[in-house]
Amino acid sequence: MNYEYNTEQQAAFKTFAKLCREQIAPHAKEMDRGGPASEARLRANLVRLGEFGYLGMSYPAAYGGGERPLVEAVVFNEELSRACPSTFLSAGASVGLGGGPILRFGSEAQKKRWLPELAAGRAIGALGLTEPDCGSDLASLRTRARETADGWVLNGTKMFITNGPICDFAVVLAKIEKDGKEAGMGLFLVERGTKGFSTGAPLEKMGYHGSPTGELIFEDCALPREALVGEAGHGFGQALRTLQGGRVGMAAGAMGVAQACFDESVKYANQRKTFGHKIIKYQEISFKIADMKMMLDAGRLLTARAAWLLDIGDAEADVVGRCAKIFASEAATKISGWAVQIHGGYGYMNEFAVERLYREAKLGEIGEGANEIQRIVIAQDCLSRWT
Amino acid sequence: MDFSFTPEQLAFREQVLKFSAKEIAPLAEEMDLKAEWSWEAWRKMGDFGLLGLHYPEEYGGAGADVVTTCVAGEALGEGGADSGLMLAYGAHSFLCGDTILRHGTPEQKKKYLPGIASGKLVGAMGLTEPGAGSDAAAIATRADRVGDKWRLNGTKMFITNGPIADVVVVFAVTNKEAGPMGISGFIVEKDTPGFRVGKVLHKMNVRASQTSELIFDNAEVPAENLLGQEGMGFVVALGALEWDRSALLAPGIGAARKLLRDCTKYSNERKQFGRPIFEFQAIQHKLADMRIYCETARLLLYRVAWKKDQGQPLNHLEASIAKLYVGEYGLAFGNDAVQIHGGYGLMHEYPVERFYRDVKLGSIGGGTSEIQRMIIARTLPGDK
Repeated sequence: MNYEYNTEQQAAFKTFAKLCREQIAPHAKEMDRGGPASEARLRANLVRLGEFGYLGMSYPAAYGGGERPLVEAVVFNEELSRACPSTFLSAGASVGLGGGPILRFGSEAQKKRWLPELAAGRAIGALGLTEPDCGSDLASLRTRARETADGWVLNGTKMFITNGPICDFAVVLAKIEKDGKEAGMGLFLVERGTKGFSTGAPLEKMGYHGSPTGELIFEDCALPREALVGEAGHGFGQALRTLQGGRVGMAAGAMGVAQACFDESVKYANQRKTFGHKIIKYQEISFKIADMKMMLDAGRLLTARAAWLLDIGDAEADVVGRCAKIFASEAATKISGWAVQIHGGYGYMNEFAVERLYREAKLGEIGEGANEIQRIVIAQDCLSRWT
Repeated sequence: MDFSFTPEQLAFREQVLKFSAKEIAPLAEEMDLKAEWSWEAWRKMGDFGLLGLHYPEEYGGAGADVVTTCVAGEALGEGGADSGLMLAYGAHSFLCGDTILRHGTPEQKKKYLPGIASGKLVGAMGLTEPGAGSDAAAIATRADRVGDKWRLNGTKMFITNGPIADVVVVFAVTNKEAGPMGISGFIVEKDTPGFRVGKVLHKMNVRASQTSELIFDNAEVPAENLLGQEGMGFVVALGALEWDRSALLAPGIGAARKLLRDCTKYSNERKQFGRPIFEFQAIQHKLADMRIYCETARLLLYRVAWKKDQGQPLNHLEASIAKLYVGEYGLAFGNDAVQIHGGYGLMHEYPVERFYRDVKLGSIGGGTSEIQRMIIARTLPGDK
């Protein structure tokens, strides 16, 4: 047992926190406006994060990675999300969701082609699972990959894809059709520029305006045989495995949003005066901040343990990751609501970061599988474990 | 970072689980119903070596570290031990015994600890008074030096083990002008003239533990029974309170883990509308929330325990965070558990009814949730 990171780890976290504070956080507000300037900033941020070694931290050294375990990654993730949730989301979708299946299941050629580029921030990846009519019920997806003599032909539409409008490639889950029959699912790597593959305009959304989201459209999109990632027929399991890491990443990101709300609340409560006193003197304010602190600690521990379980390959990693994702995301929405409340009228204004954070916090309860579906899976785990 | 337990800790956990389920749990329902103290359960815990587990061997303990001590507490609760018994164990082993262990003279330790470790002596701690709970520094019990004795006057309130205690660690004002630094700790024995057990109190929960007032009416305590240095009583008491906010939480967390399993089984057996109620999402969502509570509470507990083992004994912030979480979220956990059981959840026959009452202690005993929030808020940056 050890509830502390070692000194080398702590030093690395500190260096990264400084970079985030000084080079990433100052642009979070302008990125929230969206548009081309925001996209340019995102690309610059990714390159900067690549130089630092953040993007490839979980990759093997052979592909430009840092080989850091997930239990460390969650701290880096939280720190980046604390500085700029949009940058965190796009970075995670690129290297974790887009690069993750390549890393775990891809061919040597796929790894060599993409992982170093992703790790450097020069290429942007995406993962396409969700469709207009299927989210939590992933098994009912409609995108089809018909096997042909020399490859595959993809047809269908993917929805709400983070980095969709800007990705250089997407890994896409589709049902395989072989000789007119369904043959399980597969993951397919589709590069931008492939004939029959187009991406929709960025969707207008509640938060994360600095992280473009959009549709991926496949119309008789012909792919070579080697576009398959991993094994034909195993795509569903591979996608689920990718989401295990994604959920823990989402939990860490939610903690970053919550920590930013905490930071802003402490700062504001020490400045703002009412009835002759700083508002932090009032229990209504300081107790809310105390609860924030408790939830941050609890969520962080749960997230770290989920990451650690994934690192050691423990069977409980899946369910604890879901617990962490639920707790962290719901803590973040609660905390962001309190943060706005502590700021009063100012909390409602764009000028204050908590207004943006409040909008961003909500994603955690929905992204990477809505919390409702997570709860069902956790209950199923209880049932299979104890009855 | 490493969240694993050692093989020895896991093996010990199994032993304690088995012991608790076989020897202690069968007594639980009746103890609570009759609000009766069980010497049988107490003796068994002493014989098993649980009452002084973390004391050095020379004082009858096993020299266990704090994590292992919490593993044992959790396993006791998970095995089905009654929460009242667990509270008595906490007040005895930690608030009384550990305070003597850390602040007592070699003579005091030799005199009291082996008896406390075996359970032959029952310990208690007296800090709270009718007019001083959260504001512990406002206690009014006085201790005046008269010759080679201290003369104690005052009343202590809500004292766990009060009616059955042989040894009580009592806090009293020795220098009124010095405020919190004018409080001192004393060891008071049962038969001290002028000391008596006041009203025995009947409670909503943890009913098997015996609670009372303690009355000091010119009670004369020998000078050598001063515990720690004169004027340092508040510091001595804070150490005890930190156990209150850590190891004392362990049995309740174990009980919650057991209850989650019970609820899962019950929801799979109970049928309504032609199918097990587990199949309804409203039940599934409750089970999921209960699982999250168990996972989280454990991590917060063992963080404090592990840091104690690393030589950070006064970790007020993290101890308060653990206490606040377990206390507040425990209420929702208990509510979900009763709700899953429906009408049966209100009946004594099911342990869930007892849990629901017992869990309320978590947001009050050992410092209310409000006090925990004050402690956490004090650590925030900026001036308060």
